[in-house]
Amino acid sequence: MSINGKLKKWTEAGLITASQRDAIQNHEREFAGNRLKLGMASAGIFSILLGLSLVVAANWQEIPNSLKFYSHLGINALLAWCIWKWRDDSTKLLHREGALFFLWGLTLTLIALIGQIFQLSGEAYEAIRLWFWLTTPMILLYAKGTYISRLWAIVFVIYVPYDLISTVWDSTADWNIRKATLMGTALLLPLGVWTLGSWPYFAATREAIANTLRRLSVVMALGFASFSSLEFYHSFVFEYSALVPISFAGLAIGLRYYFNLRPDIQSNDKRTIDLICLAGLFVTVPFLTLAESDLWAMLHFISFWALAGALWQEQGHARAVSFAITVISIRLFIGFLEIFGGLMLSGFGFIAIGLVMIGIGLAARRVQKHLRGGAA
Amino acid sequence: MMDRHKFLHLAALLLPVLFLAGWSGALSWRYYNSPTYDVVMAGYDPRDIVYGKYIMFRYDWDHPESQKPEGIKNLPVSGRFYVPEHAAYDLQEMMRNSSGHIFKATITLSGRDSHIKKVTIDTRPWQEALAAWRETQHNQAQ
Repeated sequence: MSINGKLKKWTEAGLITASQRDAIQNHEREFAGNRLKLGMASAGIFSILLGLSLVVAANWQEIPNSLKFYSHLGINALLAWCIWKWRDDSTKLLHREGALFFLWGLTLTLIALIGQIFQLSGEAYEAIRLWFWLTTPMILLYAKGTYISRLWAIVFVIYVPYDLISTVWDSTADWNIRKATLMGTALLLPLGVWTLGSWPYFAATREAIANTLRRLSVVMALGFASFSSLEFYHSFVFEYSALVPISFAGLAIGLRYYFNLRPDIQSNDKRTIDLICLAGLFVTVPFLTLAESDLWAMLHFISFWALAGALWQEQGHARAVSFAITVISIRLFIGFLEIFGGLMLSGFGFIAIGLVMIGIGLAARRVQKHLRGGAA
Repeated sequence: MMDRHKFLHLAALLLPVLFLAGWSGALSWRYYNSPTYDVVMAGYDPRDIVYGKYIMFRYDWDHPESQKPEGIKNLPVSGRFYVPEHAAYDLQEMMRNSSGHIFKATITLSGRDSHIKKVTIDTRPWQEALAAWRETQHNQAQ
């Protein structure tokens, strides 16, 4: 139904008055006018940029390297100048975010251009590494909107743990150092990210990115703990000292108590730290139990998510609790398939699987309903 | 005078631009001032010679026409050379069926990395040699 149809319905039902209806219609007309004007201007700018890009691309080989480089550097410098000029101007917030977004992306293309001009034989991940660390201070200090903050967070989640672990993996064959890096990254990286996101000065001045960092820390912790249950019960290398996982398990427990004893941290934040430390502890479990078993892997996964759900229950995060229950249900079903997958070959197998799916679904709904009462 | 807070913000903003300008300056200085070596190039796998817009190759340091630097133990084993897209496929064909052509890279060294200044085929710039090769192919087809 159109907005006018809805307004008519609401006016007839006595929910809004005729003058309110007229005011809403006027507002919408005004907004639509601005939207058309802005949309046309944006489409025009986009078309010009596209045309310029095509002209440059078609003549790329004929453009001297120095011209390519200095033009690109000039555009980047101009964008930096614009961001600086608009840094405290609240009316230019959108302009600044746009300029920051383009400077962020164009820094990567400038690195690629330098690689092309000087025929550098580096790998793509080396260019991404340089780009990420060069631009991170700028993003942390200038990004105020959620769009760039979340994009940066996605790059962070995908890139940083991979880079940390793979760099150490490539530089040493010592399994003690490799495992220590893995467990250290899983525990200390989310904790460090959470600490930065909770730093009062940072949280007050860069609210969007501080919120993103705090969420990111939890996502990373959940990812590490889940991944360790999926990966490390299968591909085992035993050539490392038991002291490595024991040390990190001890560190996870120690850090949990250290943060819980600090009076300056609120109880809600303490539960988040509990979750991060719990994830760090769970990453060490496959290396302590030395089990190569699908059943162990499933128990690991389910017990971690059950404890995470309990912590969210305590914090009152009803949606997160529901999510935990759903994840556990899916894992249970996958576990069933892993153990009794052979039954799928027969008609009885399909019937059994259907019954199990219905059973798990009903049980999950019942648990969620029960818990939602406490979490809401 | 600029306070510390303002200085940090300005430094964070200028870091990517200044670093890349400085890095490019350093590369440029090395490009013109470092010793260069002519090394024979060989495709290490005909299927993978052209990877996007790069020619991928290995250095044949032991070829009699290669200039092997004295006293450097870890010489680069392979390299990539950026070429325009329209030239990549023909260069691959030319290198694959080299039939006596000698591909040579003029490079500077930086640790285990090499920076290619130019590529020649039979002492001619690669663009000229490629044009001649294309003409021969065209004539043979007729």
